[in-house]
Amino acid sequence: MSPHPLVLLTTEGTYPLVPGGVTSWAQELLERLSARFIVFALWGPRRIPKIPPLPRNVEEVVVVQLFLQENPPLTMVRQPLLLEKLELFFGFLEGDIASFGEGLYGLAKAAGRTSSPSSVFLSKEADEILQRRFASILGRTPVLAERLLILGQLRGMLANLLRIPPAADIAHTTVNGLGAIPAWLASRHYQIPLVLTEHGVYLRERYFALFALNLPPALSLFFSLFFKTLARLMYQEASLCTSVSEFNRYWQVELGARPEKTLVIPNGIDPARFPPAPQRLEDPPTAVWVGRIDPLKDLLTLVQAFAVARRNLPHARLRLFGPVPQGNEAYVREVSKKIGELGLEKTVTLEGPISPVYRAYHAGWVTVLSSVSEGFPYVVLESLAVGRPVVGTRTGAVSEVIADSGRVVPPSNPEALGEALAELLSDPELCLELGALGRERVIRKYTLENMVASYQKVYDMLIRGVRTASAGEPT
Amino acid sequence: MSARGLFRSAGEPVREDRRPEDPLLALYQRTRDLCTSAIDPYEIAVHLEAMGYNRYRVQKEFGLEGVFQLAEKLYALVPRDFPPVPRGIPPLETARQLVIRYLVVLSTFSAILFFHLRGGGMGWPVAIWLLAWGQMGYFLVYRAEAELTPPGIAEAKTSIALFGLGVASVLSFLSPNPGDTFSGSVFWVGAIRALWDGQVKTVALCAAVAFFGVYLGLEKMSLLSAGILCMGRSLVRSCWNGWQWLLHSWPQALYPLLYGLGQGLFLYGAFHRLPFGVLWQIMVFLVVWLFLFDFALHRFGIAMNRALWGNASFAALFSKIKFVLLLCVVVLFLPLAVSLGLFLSAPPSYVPFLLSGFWAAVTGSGVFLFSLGEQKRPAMVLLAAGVAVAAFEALAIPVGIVATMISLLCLFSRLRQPLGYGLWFL
Repeated sequence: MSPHPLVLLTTEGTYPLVPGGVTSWAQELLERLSARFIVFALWGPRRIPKIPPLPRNVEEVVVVQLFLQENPPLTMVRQPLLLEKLELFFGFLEGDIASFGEGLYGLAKAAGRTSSPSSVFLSKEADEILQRRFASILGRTPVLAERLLILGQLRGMLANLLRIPPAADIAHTTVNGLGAIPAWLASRHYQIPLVLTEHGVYLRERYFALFALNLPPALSLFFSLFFKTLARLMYQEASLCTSVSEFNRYWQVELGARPEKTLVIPNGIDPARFPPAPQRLEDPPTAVWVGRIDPLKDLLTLVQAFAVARRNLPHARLRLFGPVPQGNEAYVREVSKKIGELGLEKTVTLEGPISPVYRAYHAGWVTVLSSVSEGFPYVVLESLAVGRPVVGTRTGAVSEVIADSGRVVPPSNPEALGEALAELLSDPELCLELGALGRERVIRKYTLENMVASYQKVYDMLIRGVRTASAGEPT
Repeated sequence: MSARGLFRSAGEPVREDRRPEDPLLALYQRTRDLCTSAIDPYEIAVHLEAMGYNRYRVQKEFGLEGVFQLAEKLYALVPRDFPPVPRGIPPLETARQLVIRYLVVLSTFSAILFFHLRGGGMGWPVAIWLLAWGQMGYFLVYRAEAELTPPGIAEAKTSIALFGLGVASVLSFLSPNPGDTFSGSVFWVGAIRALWDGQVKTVALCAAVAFFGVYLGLEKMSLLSAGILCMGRSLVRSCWNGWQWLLHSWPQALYPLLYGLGQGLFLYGAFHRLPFGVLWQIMVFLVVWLFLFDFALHRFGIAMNRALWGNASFAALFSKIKFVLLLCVVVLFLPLAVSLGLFLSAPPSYVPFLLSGFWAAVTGSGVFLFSLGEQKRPAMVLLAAGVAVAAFEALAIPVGIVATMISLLCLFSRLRQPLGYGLWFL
């Protein structure tokens, strides 16, 4: 037996395929933990990006593509076992977590042995089950279009996902959504511990997405019930739910996690990679924003807030650093338009990505974060690590991390954000003082070393538990 | 919190004329859209948090334990149900766009025919390739629009067009008149490229210029310049990413490519010995029929969309769309019926017309199956039929009969399973 446990790590649209917060977290963790990994990465129908070099302890990467277009067969074969499990699966409509779990596991097991769940979702029998079960929830019979959209969506999400993953000693999911399903299946099938780590609360983000998608109401209802029951199943069955902040833990407990099985492990960084910024602040007073340009970052509010700040500080500047992810081009145009409307073309600049990132923080007096939703933003840690204070919005772990090293304001409030920015940009001494406090705080509390040690402890504890349990089993 | 977002009545309906007297009602007035559309209290809770409400603020302002309790209160204020909300394309606008597109394609096609009549001509290999490329390009563009961002889409379209043009220019050397064939291909590819961008006016203008040039006897020059004009800026656009995307994505459009190849080979096998005077009559008839059939399918799509949103059972669905389905079937069989009638009246001279009837039935079933989300079977049937007709001319009629029967069998078995294709109309 290898001294290091084999961990099945599941991700969704993040590690190792695209850069971002979760990817940085996973990269740092995997390199340093004494464990071997099989990474189970969920990806959409688009082309799979090139996977960068991985740490040596990653033994395998399995990419599962969802929503692949495949034609249903011309004839649908009746699959009684799958249909029986599908009936149980629809238990989520009544909030029956146990039945939903049985159905999910049953579908995955049956799919491996008998046939593909892909065609079962588009069978006449599946449609009948859906019609009967959903009608009582909806208060009317769902029309054909609603049923087809639901079944098509379920098929896209689950057809390739419902398989028993390879065997491991621990299943660790980085998300409580679709990405958690393979980890949960492995945990249940091989009777291994399940660790659930959440950076943002997946269900919260689903609600934002459902609202933005403006789906027909019946579909929103159906999928909110699906994701809610899925989240509850995972919270209930996870051996340990770790989160990056108290804020996330609050949601986890609300959604059914037992408080004694929750643990906050904040993210950490290596302070050596973030050299202290100069102790002299050069004019003009500059605020810096760093991140990927996305509607959740609410740059429109930031631009308006900066216009408020400029009332008293006409020479102030705002520099925005970060890439534009695919699909967000329209949002960048909207931001640029807002900058133009407010006459800020010369003082607010979109400067694209910067490397190494600490140069961005060094370029400003203060870092600003205007997001409407956050998990545990690295931006805050990194800025504090170089000794620059942060003005952030009260979302996710932002206020916990900033504490007394900056200012925290309500999200979507340009006046408040603008006033906080103006306060700091007009007082360089205060910026340096808060920045120093922040750096001291990061070194004390939010280091990579602490984070890795915490996860290592979690793995060791769970493995000890498994080995003790197997040793105690009658032979 | 235990609410599950079920259909329910309001606990305390809010009257529109009621003045907000307490903070809860004031908050409700500010978040009315959210409260009325919310699926469950959690949805309200996440948006309240985004507005800056946390448990401390909620305790202070509302005397409640936290955001979840506040969301419950707001959720209870609004009655709600979940009506079916139809999603579809406005049919009138689409029909108008469709007619414009048909007219433009028809005029482009006519310009090339006119050019042919005036003494130039396009070789068969290029004609077959352009048919196959047209099918492949249509699907690749559809895919690019779903997968890429606007600059990427433009680059992909240009790469697809240049790919089509590249192969056409190589094949032009196999034609008896390479210069004319190449000019015709540039015009055809250019017109399609412009249509992908919705530049209908450009295409119409170029077609008019081409007609005029051909009339004056400047065939080669006029078609070449009209084609280049159609492609316009896109020809000089850098499209390295587009080529990369095309290299990766072309297998996704393999079946449409094979389908187009089958179409071309079938036409070649059936008509390559015909004098141009007969050929152009058949081609005009087939093109007009294709437009008619496409329009019937478009009506079918609209009827399906409406029926799917308006009915809860499949039996009712078929009863709602039976007339439009009948229309599609009638139009599908129209060329076969006409050509069979001609063939029976004077058998030997109307063999090519009969073959065009089979071609229409197989191609039409294929188009219908494509619109139902089925690609592999129609492509393979048409390719096999095309190869057989091109290789064994003597067997053309039996091959046509067998291919027609297989295609119709596939079509009707597919039509019986609306669960498999209904999604394509939503």
